[in-house]
Amino acid sequence: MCVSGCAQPGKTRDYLTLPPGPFRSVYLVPDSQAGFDRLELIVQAGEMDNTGPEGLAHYTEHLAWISQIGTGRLSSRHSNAWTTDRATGYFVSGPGSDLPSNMRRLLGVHLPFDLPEKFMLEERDIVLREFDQRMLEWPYASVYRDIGRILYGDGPLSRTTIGTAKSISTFTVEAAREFHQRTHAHSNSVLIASGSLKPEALQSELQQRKANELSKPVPIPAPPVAPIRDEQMVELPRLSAEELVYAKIVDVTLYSSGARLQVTVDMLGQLLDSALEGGIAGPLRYDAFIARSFDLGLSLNAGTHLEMWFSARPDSGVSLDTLQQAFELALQSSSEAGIPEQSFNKVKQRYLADVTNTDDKPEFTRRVLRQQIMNRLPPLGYSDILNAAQTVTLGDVEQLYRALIGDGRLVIRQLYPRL
Amino acid sequence: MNRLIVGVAVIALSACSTIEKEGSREITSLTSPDGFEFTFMPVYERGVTDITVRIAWPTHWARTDGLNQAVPYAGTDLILSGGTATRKPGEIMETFNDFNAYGNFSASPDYVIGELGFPRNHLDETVEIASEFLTNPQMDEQWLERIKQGFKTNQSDLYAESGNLMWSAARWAVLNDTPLLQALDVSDLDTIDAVTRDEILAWHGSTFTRVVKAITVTGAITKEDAGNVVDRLLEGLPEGEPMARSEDKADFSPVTVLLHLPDAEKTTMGIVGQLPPTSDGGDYEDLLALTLFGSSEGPLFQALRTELRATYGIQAGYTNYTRELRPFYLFGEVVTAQLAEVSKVAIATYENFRLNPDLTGLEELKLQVADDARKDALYVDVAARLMMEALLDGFDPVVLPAVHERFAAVTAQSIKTRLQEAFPPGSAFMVMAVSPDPDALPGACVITAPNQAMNCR
Repeated sequence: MCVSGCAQPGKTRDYLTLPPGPFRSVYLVPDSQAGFDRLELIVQAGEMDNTGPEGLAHYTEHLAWISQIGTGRLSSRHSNAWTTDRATGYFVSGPGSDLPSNMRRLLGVHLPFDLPEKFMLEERDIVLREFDQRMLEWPYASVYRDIGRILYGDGPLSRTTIGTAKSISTFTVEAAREFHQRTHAHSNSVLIASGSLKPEALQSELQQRKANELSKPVPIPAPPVAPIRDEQMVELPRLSAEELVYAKIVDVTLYSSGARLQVTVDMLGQLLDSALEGGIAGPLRYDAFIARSFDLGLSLNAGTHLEMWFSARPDSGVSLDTLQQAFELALQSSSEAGIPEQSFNKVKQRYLADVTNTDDKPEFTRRVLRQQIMNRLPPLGYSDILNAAQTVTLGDVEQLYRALIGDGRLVIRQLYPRL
Repeated sequence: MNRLIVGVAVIALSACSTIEKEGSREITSLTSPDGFEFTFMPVYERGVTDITVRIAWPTHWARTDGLNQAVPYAGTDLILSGGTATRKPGEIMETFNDFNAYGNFSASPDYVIGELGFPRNHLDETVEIASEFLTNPQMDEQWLERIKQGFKTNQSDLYAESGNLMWSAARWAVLNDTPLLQALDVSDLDTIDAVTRDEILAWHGSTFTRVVKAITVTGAITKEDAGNVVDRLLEGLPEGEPMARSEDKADFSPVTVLLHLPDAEKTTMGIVGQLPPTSDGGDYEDLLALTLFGSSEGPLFQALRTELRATYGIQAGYTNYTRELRPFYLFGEVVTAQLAEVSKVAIATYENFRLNPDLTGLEELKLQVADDARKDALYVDVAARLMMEALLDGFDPVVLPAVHERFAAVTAQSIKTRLQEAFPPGSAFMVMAVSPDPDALPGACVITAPNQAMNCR
């Protein structure tokens, strides 16, 4: 029954790969501690697959969810839906006895919308309320949108899931129906089940549905490759204090892949974020008063690109120019000097301790699986990450660091409050 | 970035209990060698190595006229930021990261609570550093300036959102211009600028004494070691003096207030009433009742989103101004033109639920919540917090049933009784709103700044 990454005799099974029935793939994460079973259906399509008004994928998710899951009283009272640029998810949870009805509800999100036309049009206004809630008084909305467009070009990768007030107002039910029909198919969806439900019970449910021909997800398009450096000063209403935002993407397709690359990215991020030698917290915050606060995050995008987001607020009397120079100097210096072995060993030791001491391993696996499926990549689980963490070397991290420092698409914004 | 301050808790869940020793997970009241009473729950289970210590110091700072109410917030940050006499700040942060340890403070009007978490094998050094923080913090001036700047930015960000200004107006309407209001609000950025090192030293000296309200110790530690840890953390602190409990004046009586902000981008509504304090009990019923009422499948959501189509989401919940003052609210962003109708329908829907609740799904919800609570309470740090909350409410955690058992004991009848006896009637609510339209709520007391809400009484 188990195909990959899981069922080795004598070892804990992170997840089981079941015959997919109507879906592209089906994974079961055993979790004997869970009181309820959870079913999450991930449609491998999101806003980047939409060619209509920006945000239509999210509106479509609202209509699909309300049609099948979001109305009436669910016995479980635990269900929701989400949309990102690359995937759309629906989940329900409940006791094992709810499996047949919960499966029916999930399968239903692929059926044509079953709602009055007037209600569907009004839901457009509800999406607008959601936009109001999330975006209207958020000072960074415009600048982050612009940064995305410069990093990823004016194509599918830079579309925002929430859209704009203007684009939302142009949604039509017909366009949502067309997008739904094009993307929401069993064969374009992956099911992640978890809990104490038996594989046989799940399989029995799946076997009642007509199987589809196996297909691969549409690959996520590659971002532009031409290096750029785009710097601007921007005044923003509602911004409270000066801030530096520094965003960069670099191609890492030539480096390792899968779990090893993911762990290498994580370790480099943790090292840079630290006050260890080689990190930037020392030169910016602890050894000098340059940045009173900063956030640095590295993430692996679609398994092929490394994305860095750095934002910082300067200490009193420090200009954004000085802060930017100090940040770039810290990166350049530590990259050229090489990461001290002692620092790497500490980061690796902490990372391994964090993974090993993970209390909820099924949740860890669910999170990693979800991330992989959203990125349209092969599945990974807890053991894959743990094994990779044991094998990542200082050389791996240094190589990735050099890539991060090298050519890429870089956008820098010095943000000032508009008085 | 700063694990010590942010307090990223690394918590140990006891998933298996195959090497259980005597007394594991039994809660007892003990006295340390130096005479401090503490509540203790050892966890002797395979894989559990973490220990959590929580100490609650009573404070009257937020009830004292003439004091800068920004001081406790800046002070708790500064204690942990400036390093110790022998260790630099960055060194301590990395040491704690290596240990997988954390420390944090939370300041509230009633107590300053410190929490320390660490694995058993790093007990000595972690406790030594924490003790230094408590007894001999460096209070570095440059760090103070940095903390003040950050605090000001945080408060500016907070009040840049019109919904938070509405909550500020609600506080002014309830508490009037009192030190407690200033402590909860901290909207005047000049008060943050005015914080001095001397003020923080005075606050530190009067707060961190050997007079403590409650101490809890949980995790992979013996009772002897637990007592010694408590003594080591508190040794070197001044004796201090017991504090009498004070009464806060609050007025939750009905009033309708609209904060008119021409630049607000949206309209937000808050309907506010008062619940009895958690020390009176009944909070398990409160949680379940409000989950049923306010969930996306509950009557409030049904009435305001599905039927009126006036909001993306509306919350029903409660918070604590103090341990005695517990506001209950219905809150959400709404279509400006529908504000008046929404407020009426929200109150009518609530009142209907209060008097005649539809508790469909209660049993399933209880199972789910009790299951979550059972799992959460297995965590060493969560257990320390639950025990502390019981102590601060005057309950004896030694004799309390487990949290999941208390959820399981809730019945439809106990919820109905609670709703009718403890929840305010619909006629007793304050209706608060913030909007770019001054006429959006006919009959409202229209104000242009939150502090004017006290004049609407």
